[in-house]
Amino acid sequence: MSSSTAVSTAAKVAVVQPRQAPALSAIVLRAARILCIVLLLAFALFPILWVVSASFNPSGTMASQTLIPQNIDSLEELFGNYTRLFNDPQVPFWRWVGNSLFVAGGSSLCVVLVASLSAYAFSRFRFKYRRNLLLSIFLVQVFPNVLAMVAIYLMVLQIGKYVPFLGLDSYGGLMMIYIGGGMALNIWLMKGFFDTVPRDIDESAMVDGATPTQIYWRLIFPLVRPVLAVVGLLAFTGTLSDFLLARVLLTDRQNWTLMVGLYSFVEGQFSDNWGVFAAGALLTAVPVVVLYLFLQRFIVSGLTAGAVKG
Amino acid sequence: MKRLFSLMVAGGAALLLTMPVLAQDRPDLLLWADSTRAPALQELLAQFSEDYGVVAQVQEIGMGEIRSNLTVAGPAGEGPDIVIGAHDWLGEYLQNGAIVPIDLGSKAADFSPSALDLFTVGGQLYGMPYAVENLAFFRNTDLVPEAPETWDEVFAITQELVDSGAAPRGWVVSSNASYDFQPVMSAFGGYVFGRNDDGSYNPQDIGIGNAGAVAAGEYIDQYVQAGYITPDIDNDVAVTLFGNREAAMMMTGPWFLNRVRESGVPFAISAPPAGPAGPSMPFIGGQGFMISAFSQNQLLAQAFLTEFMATTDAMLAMYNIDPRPPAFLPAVAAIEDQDMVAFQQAGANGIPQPSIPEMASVWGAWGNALQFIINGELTPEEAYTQAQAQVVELIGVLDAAPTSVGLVGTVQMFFGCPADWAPECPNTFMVADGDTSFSLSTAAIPAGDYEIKIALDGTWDRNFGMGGAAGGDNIPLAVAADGTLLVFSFSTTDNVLTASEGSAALVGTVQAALGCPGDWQPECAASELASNGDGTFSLSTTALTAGDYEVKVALNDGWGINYGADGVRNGDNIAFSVPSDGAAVDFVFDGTTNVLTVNVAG
Amino acid sequence: MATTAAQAANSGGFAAPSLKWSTALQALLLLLVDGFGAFLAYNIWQDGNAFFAIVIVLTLALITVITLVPRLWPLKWISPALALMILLSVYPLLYTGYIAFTNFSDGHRYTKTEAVELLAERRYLPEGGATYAWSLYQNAAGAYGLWLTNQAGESFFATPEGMFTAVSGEAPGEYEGYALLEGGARFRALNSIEGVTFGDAENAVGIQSLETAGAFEQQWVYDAAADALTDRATGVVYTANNTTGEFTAPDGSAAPFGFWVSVGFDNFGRIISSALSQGPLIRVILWTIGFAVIGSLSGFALGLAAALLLDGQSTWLRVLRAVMIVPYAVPGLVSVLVWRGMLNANIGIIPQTMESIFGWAPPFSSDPGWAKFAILLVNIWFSAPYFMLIGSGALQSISSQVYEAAQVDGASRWVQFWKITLPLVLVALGPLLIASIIFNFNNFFLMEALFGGGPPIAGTSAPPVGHTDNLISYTYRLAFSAGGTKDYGLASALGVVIFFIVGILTLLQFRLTRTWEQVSENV
Repeated sequence: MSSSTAVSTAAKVAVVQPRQAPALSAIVLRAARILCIVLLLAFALFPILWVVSASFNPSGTMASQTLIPQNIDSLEELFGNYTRLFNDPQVPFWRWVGNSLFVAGGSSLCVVLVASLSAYAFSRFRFKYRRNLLLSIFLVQVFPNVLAMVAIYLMVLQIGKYVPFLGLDSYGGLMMIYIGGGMALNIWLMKGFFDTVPRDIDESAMVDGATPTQIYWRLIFPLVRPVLAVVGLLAFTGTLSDFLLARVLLTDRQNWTLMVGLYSFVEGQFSDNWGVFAAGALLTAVPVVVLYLFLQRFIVSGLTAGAVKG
Repeated sequence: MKRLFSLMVAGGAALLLTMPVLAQDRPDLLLWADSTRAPALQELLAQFSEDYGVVAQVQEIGMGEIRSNLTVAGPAGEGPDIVIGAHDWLGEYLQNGAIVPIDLGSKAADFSPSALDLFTVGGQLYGMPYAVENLAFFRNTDLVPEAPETWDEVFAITQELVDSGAAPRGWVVSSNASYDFQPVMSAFGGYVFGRNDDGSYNPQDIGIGNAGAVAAGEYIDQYVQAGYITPDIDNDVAVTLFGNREAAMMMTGPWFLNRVRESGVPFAISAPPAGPAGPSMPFIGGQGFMISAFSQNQLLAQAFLTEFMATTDAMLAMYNIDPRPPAFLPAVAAIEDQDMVAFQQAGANGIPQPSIPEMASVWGAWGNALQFIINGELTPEEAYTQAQAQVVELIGVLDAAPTSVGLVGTVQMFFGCPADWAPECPNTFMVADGDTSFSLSTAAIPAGDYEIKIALDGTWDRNFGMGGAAGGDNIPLAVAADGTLLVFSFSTTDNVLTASEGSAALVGTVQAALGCPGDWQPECAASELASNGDGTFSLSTTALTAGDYEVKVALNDGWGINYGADGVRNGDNIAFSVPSDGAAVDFVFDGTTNVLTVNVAG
Repeated sequence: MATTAAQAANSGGFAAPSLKWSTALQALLLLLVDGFGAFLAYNIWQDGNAFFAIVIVLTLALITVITLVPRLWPLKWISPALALMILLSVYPLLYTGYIAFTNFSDGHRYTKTEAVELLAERRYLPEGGATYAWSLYQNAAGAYGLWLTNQAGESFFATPEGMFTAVSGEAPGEYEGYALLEGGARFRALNSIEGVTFGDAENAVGIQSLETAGAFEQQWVYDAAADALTDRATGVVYTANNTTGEFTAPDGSAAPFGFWVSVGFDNFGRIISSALSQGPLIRVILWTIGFAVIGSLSGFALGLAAALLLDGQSTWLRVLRAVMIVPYAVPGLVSVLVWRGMLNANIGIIPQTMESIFGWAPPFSSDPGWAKFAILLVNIWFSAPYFMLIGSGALQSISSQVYEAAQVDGASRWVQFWKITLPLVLVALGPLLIASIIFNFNNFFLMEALFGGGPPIAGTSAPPVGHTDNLISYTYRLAFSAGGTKDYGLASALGVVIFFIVGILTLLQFRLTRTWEQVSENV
């Protein structure tokens, strides 16, 4: 209770923190911090290094791969996996990328919109059974859905008979599932952040006669941009790297998302397209990292900047 | 408010009327194939559509989904007409009636008979094969110039190579893939399922824990003890070790042929070596086309398969995208790849990979056993005994030697049981009188109507009633008169329990004297005991000469149920002496206690 | 309850908006959604999937009520999410819950109606039934005819209209206005003549395959009054047993497949009896909980540490943060395969490097302890970037003024972290940490992909269990490998049981951490 009050009052005014002169202990601390960062990065990046190496490795399986690609005689061989991705007529790579970006972008936007509305309501309004509802949606998500795949497949199949744009081999159905699938978690994540936005902001606006809709769009929305960015990014990444669901629902090669297409390279128990798969997977990571770099300014600068205005 | 509501209803109705039923236009013929084969089929289908004016399409579905979603999409009317998959899916598909027989007609002669066998169940062909596959033995010809004939030779070569430092490893095997272990196991006499006379597999006969399987495990254990085989090898690793010249021998299938070739190692393919029990019998698998039972276009599907796919061009197109030995003989003839021929030869002693659903219960336990040996955690005997027990439990093998076969019902009190319907009461446990038959007799049941069943293992878990049905209805039993000698018999092959009136006969060295053709002949009528109507049976004679005799009582003219000294089933012979020729001897058999009393006069 | 007063005050404070435009827009939207949904529900009902249709109708009713009842206005904000969740989370949940009480499994995959319909399509050739080779003809009016030749060499011409005339000779190019169909024309006609009966009453001929036509008849006939199927090929009558979902003959044999029926609590009974007889189940449960808690906490700790280490505005830190995201951005399937390769005892870089340095390497895949360690390690690698991502967002929401005040009070950084940073971050991320524990409780992917549940535990009864199997992967083994049938009923029942375990644990966690209260009182 006390801690949250601290946030509320503190957030009202942003004060620039004066820099202190570096002391010896500070230098030691700094060195320790750098060392930790280096170790952290090494741990995080070593397997990635392996993926990078695989993408330049002509050998077809993981077991036969070496960290430094062997037997490379020409640049062509070095980039063989990438050329195959871009040039193989059976691999409409850019189309897959486009499909992926469309599905991931569209569904993460919808997720942000729909989840933030709910999170706002749960955070700001008081209504009967609010807690129960909030807990219920959490519990629903906890259910180990051993048959979810069967149920969802059957559902999409049946809806698709009458509404093709929500059926099998359509993005509508797939996106609907992506949007609904992680809803509870996203609402929870957002609500947690919404709760840290001081209530006096909307209370004072309410006194001025603003409707909840106005308060939400004009005051709250700008303030919660960090969490919107985080949720959007999480949804985007999750959608982009999913292949289980997309593989079941998309049946035409031209309509596949990138991950489904890439998965087809390693799907067979004895397939030897590991390098191509790794190359494609690395390229999948690019939009996520780019998006993160772009969203960082929202994530990092959000709350306090907005609070000054409020 | 009311107005809004009516407006809404009206609007909804209007929408309903205006929105056309947007049915997706379905092709005339729809195939499901995985991403390996779909591209080849796409081209073939385009050709087919052009030639015949029929719209045919292929959807790319993952292997697992093709297998599982046919029975989901099919009933909803959204399934394919043809699926492409492995022959070992048949079990699951047939369990659900999801596929229909295929009539290849005159084209059948163009297919290799063993490939057709893979897709044949109960005399019906359920798939049109296009490829067969099996493991073959690979050796690095620099290190191992001659193909080893026996597994012992393989071990000797391994020992020599490693000890001389010529190669870090000799023969390697995947440490958890039971599929790869089958050739070794079969060469030592182990088997997964026994086979019925018609060649089909009998899931009730499991040989994973037999002496042969254990011997095969001990063979592997030699390598483990010597450090030649280490844990954590899978197919991928084995091929890599072979390709890096770190291993000299391995087994793999046509799917890895390209990788081995690309590695540049000089190699040769031969049949897996033989063992003490005979040649290795690798599993043979088949890939083929199956027609969905939910399809409305089955005729067209058949026509497509027999007229268009069963041609050399189409089969070669499948071969080129997925190089495995073709099942279509004209296509085999057109293939020049000697390695493919070698694969086919290596499969000459192969047996079909079981496609019965029970096989799904085998893989895990079977593979674990090998892993336990290679991890050094269990001895081969422990490992395979455990695997056998697990598989038996999973499959629910009925002749998994039930610990007991108990007669239960309203008759049990007459056997001295504390209560009726008590499966745990040992008094009514039946005794085996053959491999699969069990029996019990009594004369203690008074006239009346009763109900009976069979319960195995002293519990209700496995119980059988009318018609041998598991958990079935009670079987009515009518006893006409007191003292009737009743024989209950039960067969574990069909789980049917029968009760009938039995006869008792004297057998032994007295029979010849009683007018039988010889002694110890239970089928002889002359020594039959006559019922006294009170549950005892007797025979009196004066035909015996002085001397020592031995007798028993046999029921129903056979040895199945026989009682010896003290009424013990299959007990010792009852000895008695006749002091003088023609002395009166009375034999009395009590059908309740099963005791035969011999009274010699004088 | 203290909040009741606040509730009243709040709902009084926020009057429902009465803008006319928005009301009209809402009405229109509602109309669209309801109309669309009703259309869908009606058709799906017609298809025989009443369960799904009811779920759709209930969802629609809920949305409509929320929109039309002014008192429920706060729920309007939630209704889009609610509708989606009902369709995509609640419906599969109900479906699973429903299946848990049935014997839905291989051999019992269909409803009785579906099973009867599927069997009714099977054909057989009665003893002495004639078979023919056939050629297809079509006349100008589009009607079909068959030229039939039997084994004795006699030929007939038959039409669906009841004609069956003896003819002679080879099949001609044209016969009484009917032209022979060949090649593509014949193929295109096949779908139209499938299931059509040609000839007269005594000589009814159906086409069985491309080369054979004959007097094939329906093999399985269902008699609704007797509730029994007759196999006309053998004459055996199979009576429906509506408690086991099978059609059984008097001799105990069953029809080729059955149908699914409700079996009450049978599946749960089986779970309890097998749970009692299973020694390793306790081990599986302990590992499931241990992995969920340790895995989540360690990932959270490292993620938060990373967020703190990389907290700041400099370009360097921005870039490093982006780099730290890469493990999260690369698809999980790739990374888990890479880890598997790196840990492999024979070719993996980690064991090989350790071997060359220390002369010994941990047997990651064959030793239970090391296997668990490896899984936890990989899990940290997977989850830390996620927690860093949301953690760095949460750190930003803590005002620098709080720290300043603390610094004025002379608190060290260590104290600041424990007294300020951690509690505040936990407020925002506590529920997510719990969600992560729950997710890891059901983490099937990692267990299956890394070591396939192995190494196996020795000395267990069936099904085989591995040291790194958790409850969900154990469920799969139990329900989908025993007896060669995929038992969806049993799997669902296990799902329900796990749900109760997890649900109770979740509620307990909320109680214990008091996050729940904290969050709600915070507002």
